[in-house]
Amino acid sequence: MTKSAIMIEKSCDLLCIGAGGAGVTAAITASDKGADVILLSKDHIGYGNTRIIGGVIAYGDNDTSRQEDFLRDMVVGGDYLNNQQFCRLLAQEVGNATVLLERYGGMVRRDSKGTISPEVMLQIGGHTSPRTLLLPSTGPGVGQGLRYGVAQRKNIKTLEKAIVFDLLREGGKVLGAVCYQLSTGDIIVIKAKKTLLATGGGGWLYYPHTDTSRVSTGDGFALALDAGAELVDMEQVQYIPFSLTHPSGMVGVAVGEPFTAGPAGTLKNVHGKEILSGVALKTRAQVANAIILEAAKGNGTKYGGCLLDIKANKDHPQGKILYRHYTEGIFKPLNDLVRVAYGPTAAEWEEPWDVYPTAHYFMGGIVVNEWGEVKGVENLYACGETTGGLHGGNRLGSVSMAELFIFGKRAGERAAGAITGRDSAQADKSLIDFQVQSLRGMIGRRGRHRVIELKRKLQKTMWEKVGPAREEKKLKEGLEIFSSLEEDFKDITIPETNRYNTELLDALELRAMLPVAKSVALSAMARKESRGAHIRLDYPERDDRHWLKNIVVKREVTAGIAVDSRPVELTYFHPDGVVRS
Amino acid sequence: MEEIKVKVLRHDPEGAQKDRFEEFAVTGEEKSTVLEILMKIYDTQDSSLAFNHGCRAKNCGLCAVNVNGRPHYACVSKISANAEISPLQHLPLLRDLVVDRLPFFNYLEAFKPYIVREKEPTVEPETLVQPPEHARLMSCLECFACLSSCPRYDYRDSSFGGPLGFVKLAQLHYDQRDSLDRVSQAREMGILNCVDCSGCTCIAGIPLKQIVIKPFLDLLRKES
Repeated sequence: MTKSAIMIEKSCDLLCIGAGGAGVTAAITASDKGADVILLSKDHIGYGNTRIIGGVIAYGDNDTSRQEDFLRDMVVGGDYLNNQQFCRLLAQEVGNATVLLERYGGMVRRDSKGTISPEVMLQIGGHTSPRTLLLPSTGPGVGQGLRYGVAQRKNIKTLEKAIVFDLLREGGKVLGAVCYQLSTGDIIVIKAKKTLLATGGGGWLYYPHTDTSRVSTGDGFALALDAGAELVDMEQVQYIPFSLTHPSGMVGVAVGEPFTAGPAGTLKNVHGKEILSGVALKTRAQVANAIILEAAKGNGTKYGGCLLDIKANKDHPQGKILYRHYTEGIFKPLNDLVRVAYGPTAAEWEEPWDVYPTAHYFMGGIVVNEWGEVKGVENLYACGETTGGLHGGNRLGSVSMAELFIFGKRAGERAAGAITGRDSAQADKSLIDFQVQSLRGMIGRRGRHRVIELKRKLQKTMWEKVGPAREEKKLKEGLEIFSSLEEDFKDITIPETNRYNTELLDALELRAMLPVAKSVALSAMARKESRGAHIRLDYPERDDRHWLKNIVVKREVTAGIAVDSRPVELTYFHPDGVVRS
Repeated sequence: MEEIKVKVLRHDPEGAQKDRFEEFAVTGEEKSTVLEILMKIYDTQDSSLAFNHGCRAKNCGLCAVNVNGRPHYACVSKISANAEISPLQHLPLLRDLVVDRLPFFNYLEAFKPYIVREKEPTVEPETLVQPPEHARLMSCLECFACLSSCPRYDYRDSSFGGPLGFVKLAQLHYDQRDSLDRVSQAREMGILNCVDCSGCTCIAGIPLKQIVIKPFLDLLRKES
């Protein structure tokens, strides 16, 4: 018989859970203000979805009219669900994101003189002017740069391959966390004066129909819900419009953004009819929604997709440049994936690509203020994709990269500033013992259900019932399946091994995915209109009269997850015109 | 759909059994990838099988394994009948196909694996000219396949940092923000062992010999 897992105790000023762009920026910021930080990652430092970004970051200067334009683009693009205060902060501080990225070790593309000039700025979908910079080494370049920044700071201790089991909570206060470290098999108790969630989104709830990393299982959403936080706009799940539809092992892998259509490309249904014009400058939501609705009408290919025909770009003056970027430049990795999946003719753009949207980003998330303080929970902070508000109903490309640094810094600064000598990071011993025992109790449990089967069933249900084209009946069916999965989860099997117990990892992830799946389905059911990335076949129009509202979910002691809605604060922009500036 | 037989190396750090290849029969299709087959085994047959993956799109580098003795990204490599799938070599094993990455990064710490500036920049963003080698090297996936393919590397031998170690130094060498002598560090890391050897390969396509090893060796030769 295996020995029971070792328990280790650590303590720190600030525990950062998640080590992509947001978590690392928060950790570095807090550490530079003198805080002792533990930076915990379920993967490695500088990984998560930051590690696999396509390679763009929004940029801007101090020009107030350009900031105003950026703010408007975010709000219009987000279908007016955004927290406009957050948008304004982002537009004002956006240039600092590049500064921070480069201070740690990353680098953006410059002109031949080495400066960031208008000539290196790109205009991408949903933006009304060029304000996007390229990251020549894409995600790996950003990720390695983040690791530089962490390695340089001796008061940041790292903990890799560790997943949080639960936050230590006492009377509305968070006092740290209990986690399981996959690589050692240890149970680690971390007593922290402040705790920060930067766990990213929940794209993996849609596997295989997602281009996100396998770690994106919505852990932070669930931890925050348990701690008493609210989640906002959880129905808003962004799809990247162009992903592979086959072969089976590569379904959902993203191969293009709206701009991939280029100036001469067309998007067609299986009968060859064009379904959307001017694709290249449309938002992700507009393009994804066109494909989703066309396929729902039965006009999809045998793989359920539509056809992206980009051949004509090869004879178009600007289109040629795009083709070169794809075949030998920065987007070559995407073309290589097309080659593996669809063969060389498709990779030469001679043959249309069979494409369908893939889950990419959760616009919704934890309700925080502009300093990342989680509403209603003491000592808890959050930043990055796990938070809600900034992007409303649709995120514009290149904005989230900037968000990680700007809001990561704000949260790290505030958390570090709030640490005082009087703070004690002492969770009650009985609370710690209880949680450690609960976690230990999962190891070696002998039940009727294999965890991975439940996990796959949840993912399949998310796609089929809570996926791109929604309707009341399916959402209800989805919720029923989630409830039955909750029951099944009480009766699971987990082997009695400590180190690298992947079934325990799956179980801890599923434990988070269940309330997140319910939150998405309940929010989607509540929003009886189509807005942003949320499409209801039974309510196909945007309804400003009734639904200029944010949908909020919260865990209730008796009623499970409760849904509420509140009017959007239209601080600067209103669909009928400017409110005030 | 056809039945594909594969052999996968099993390593149990807590059990008494020695490392061995275990055979699995899985249904796949012509274009099935190695990762797809591993996930199928995990999902439908044996969930104790440990392997790593992240993005399924050759972007994160986490799924690198040896297939028939050579490193591949499992996510974009087509499976072949009777393939032998084993972990990357020369690295500590955690379980089955999973290697421990930590010892390498702990080793690297002594070399200050970050930008050490002479002075802080006065204006930001800075004026920076990025050599193409730097952009190429920063796109390293840190998948550890180069360490596995290197004839000399062993994680227990601190006298040799291996190709990934040299890549990490070269990133900083080509970075105009960094002020440390990364060439001398390459010598300390044992790059002189690489004279007359071209054993390592980068499966992400970075020309290691051309932009990492040869430039360092040339500079060291000039110095002496």
